[in-house]
Amino acid sequence: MADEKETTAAPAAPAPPKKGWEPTGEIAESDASKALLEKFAGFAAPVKNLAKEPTVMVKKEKLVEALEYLKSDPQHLFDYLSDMTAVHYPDNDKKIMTVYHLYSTSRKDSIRVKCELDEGEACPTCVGVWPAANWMEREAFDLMGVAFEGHPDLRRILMPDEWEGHPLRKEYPLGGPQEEEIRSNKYGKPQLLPDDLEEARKIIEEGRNER
Amino acid sequence: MNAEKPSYMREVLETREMELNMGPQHPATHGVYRAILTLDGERIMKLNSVVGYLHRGIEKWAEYRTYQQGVPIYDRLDYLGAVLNNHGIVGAVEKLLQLEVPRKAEYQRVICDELQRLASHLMWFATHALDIGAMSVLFYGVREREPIMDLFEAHFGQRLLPNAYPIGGCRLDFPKGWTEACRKFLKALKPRIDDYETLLTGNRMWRQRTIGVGVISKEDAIAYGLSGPTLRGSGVCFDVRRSIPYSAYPEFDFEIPLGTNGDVFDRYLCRMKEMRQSIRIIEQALDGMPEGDLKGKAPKIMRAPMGEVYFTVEAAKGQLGYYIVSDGTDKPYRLHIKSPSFINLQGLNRMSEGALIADMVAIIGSIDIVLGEVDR
Amino acid sequence: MEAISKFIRMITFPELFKGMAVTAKYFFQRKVTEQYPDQKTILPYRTKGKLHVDIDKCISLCRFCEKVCPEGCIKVFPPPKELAKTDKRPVEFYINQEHCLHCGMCVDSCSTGAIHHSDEYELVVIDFKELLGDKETLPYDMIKKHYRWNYLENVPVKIKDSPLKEEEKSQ
Ligand code: SF4
Ligand code: SF4
Repeated sequence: MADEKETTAAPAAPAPPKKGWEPTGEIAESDASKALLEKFAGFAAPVKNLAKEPTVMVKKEKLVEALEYLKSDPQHLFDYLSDMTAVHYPDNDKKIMTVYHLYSTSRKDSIRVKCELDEGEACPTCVGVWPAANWMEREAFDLMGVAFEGHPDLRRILMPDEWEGHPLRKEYPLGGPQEEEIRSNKYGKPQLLPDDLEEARKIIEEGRNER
Repeated sequence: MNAEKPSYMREVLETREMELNMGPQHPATHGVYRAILTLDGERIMKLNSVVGYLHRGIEKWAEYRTYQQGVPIYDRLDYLGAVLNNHGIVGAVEKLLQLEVPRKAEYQRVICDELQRLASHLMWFATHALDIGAMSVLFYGVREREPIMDLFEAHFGQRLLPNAYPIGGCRLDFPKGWTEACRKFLKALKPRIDDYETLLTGNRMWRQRTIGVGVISKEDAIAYGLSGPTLRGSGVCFDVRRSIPYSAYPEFDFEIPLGTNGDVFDRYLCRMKEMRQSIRIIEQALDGMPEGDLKGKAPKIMRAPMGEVYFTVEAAKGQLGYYIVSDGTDKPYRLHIKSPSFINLQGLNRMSEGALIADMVAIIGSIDIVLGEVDR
Repeated sequence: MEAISKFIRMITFPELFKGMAVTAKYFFQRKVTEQYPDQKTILPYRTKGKLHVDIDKCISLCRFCEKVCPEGCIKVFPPPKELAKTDKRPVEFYINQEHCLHCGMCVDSCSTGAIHHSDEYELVVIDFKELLGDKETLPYDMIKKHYRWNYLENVPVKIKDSPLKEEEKSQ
């Protein structure tokens, strides 16, 4: 829930500020978010947002039920899953957050539903609600390492099948497993050259010779 | 399937499913996309898409660059609609920082966006027709796209990946003579689109190859999350320019062309009509170009408060969304790109069920994927 | 009657001839292709080509261009502090054109206008090191370029599309 994670501290690289991630701004409400909060009282909580987009945090147990409700209730009809993704907060209490952006093609309204997960915990799949979620969940699994319970075909999608690690997690280095090798090729990126001119010249000479 | 066969075949010939690999290097897949088809004779039973050959880790890369530094990279998502990608990220950061964009800049953005949409649709038109076998259309489409690229070169300095907009506004006013050249081009383009429609729309062979092929119903199209002309071809009225208005679009008068059957032909018609609407929007914007400031007030160091925004634009391929999570630094904490091609490609499974192999090519062409955007 | 005309349409392929008429129409118009290596176009004023630096203009201590570059192509070595009071020119300036996106952000950020794009676009080299510009190679033909650019700025935009030109003629 929203207030639970306020107690935590420090997200990770790049350039971590020393405080936990918590959204700022104000709580935006729409009819749909109000109804959702009412129907799933105890399982749903409003989340602050910068741009006044109605956002609701739903507990894992009721997630699929809530999405199903939003989709099929004649008052809401959020029939279009615009986007689904996951975010990694390594220093929050709950480390993974899945985010659903829903849109209603008939009512022209949108809402964001979020769900917090522990590390290694599986998220219930919403492929049954929207088939569109199939690849989105596969992508989240591939890049973020979130497992989806009940997903019909949970494989890697963007990375090769035999890839190790999940690239979008914060502990994963930008250069991948060969990060060191890439960084040492200083000729390629002059910005990585040392500030000392003589040293820089030497590296460039070496780099030139290598090529 | 077995039951449909004549009885003598069932008894005498043993049939079995075949797996056919299509791609990754196949000219009709518009890039490096691989489809593993399970076939029953000529019919596709199941399609298994393999993507990711062009994965460049742009989302990871973005986390290590400041908001301004990131902008030129998103050009490389959908490299045929670079300006639209730019508009998406720039708009998302503006929403995050709550920046005000001058009205003149919004108009300029609309003009360039629509020109880019025209360019993208022309390129789609050229390659799609080539896939199905209409060779001469390729040359016309590419030729028509050329003046747009020239206009971009004169204004932005680059043809394909122009790094069009800075955060907070636009860089420079249109150069001398640009507006006139643009008007002239639009005037010449209108009758030519009619020409191309005579080449294809009424053509019996074209109609036989496209009508009733790759059908996806309205409900399925929504459930599969399709967007852009691929969705509108099925008759669902969802255009971000109208439904979730952004930039200066509410000020213009344009129609959203819709299809009825959701087949390849309807998607083709939708895009052709959309080109005409784009011309209309550009003309209106050129006429009503307001006076004033272009650059806007953007801070040099952009530190967003902690929070998240989701901003979508109508790119040439569909709804392009940027989801930015900020952690108070000048770099995005997480940036997720909802790429229309990725989601639309998923719908291919549904569309190609029961289709012939030869129709696969037409269906892939009709959803207009760019693999740079699929794999990010 | 309708059936007959339908039958005639079926066997004569009128739409095919309509299509051919379109092709034939363009057959008699001017060519739009350019024979590139023989026939070089004059690029517009704003073309973002290879980067050049006017070393004399650069004040080197700001290093905005270095900080803003998304690909890390630029490295500026400002002079030591004692020297900087009198001569602010950089002691060394590296630009790796091989990684450059030609995005123009360094040009936007430079307050003195020292770094700027040229209209050179032929970046094909045999050896990579030719693309690493340093203090000697970066300020290239400056006066000539500026002269041409100033001239070009006043030339209105023209798009090279032949049917358009024909239209102009007919008007
Ligand atoms: S080129 Fe411009 S921005 Fe770069 S160091 Fe010199 S004066 Fe500063
Ligand atoms: S044009 Fe862009 S990529 Fe090239 S040096 Fe300048 S800022 Fe870097």
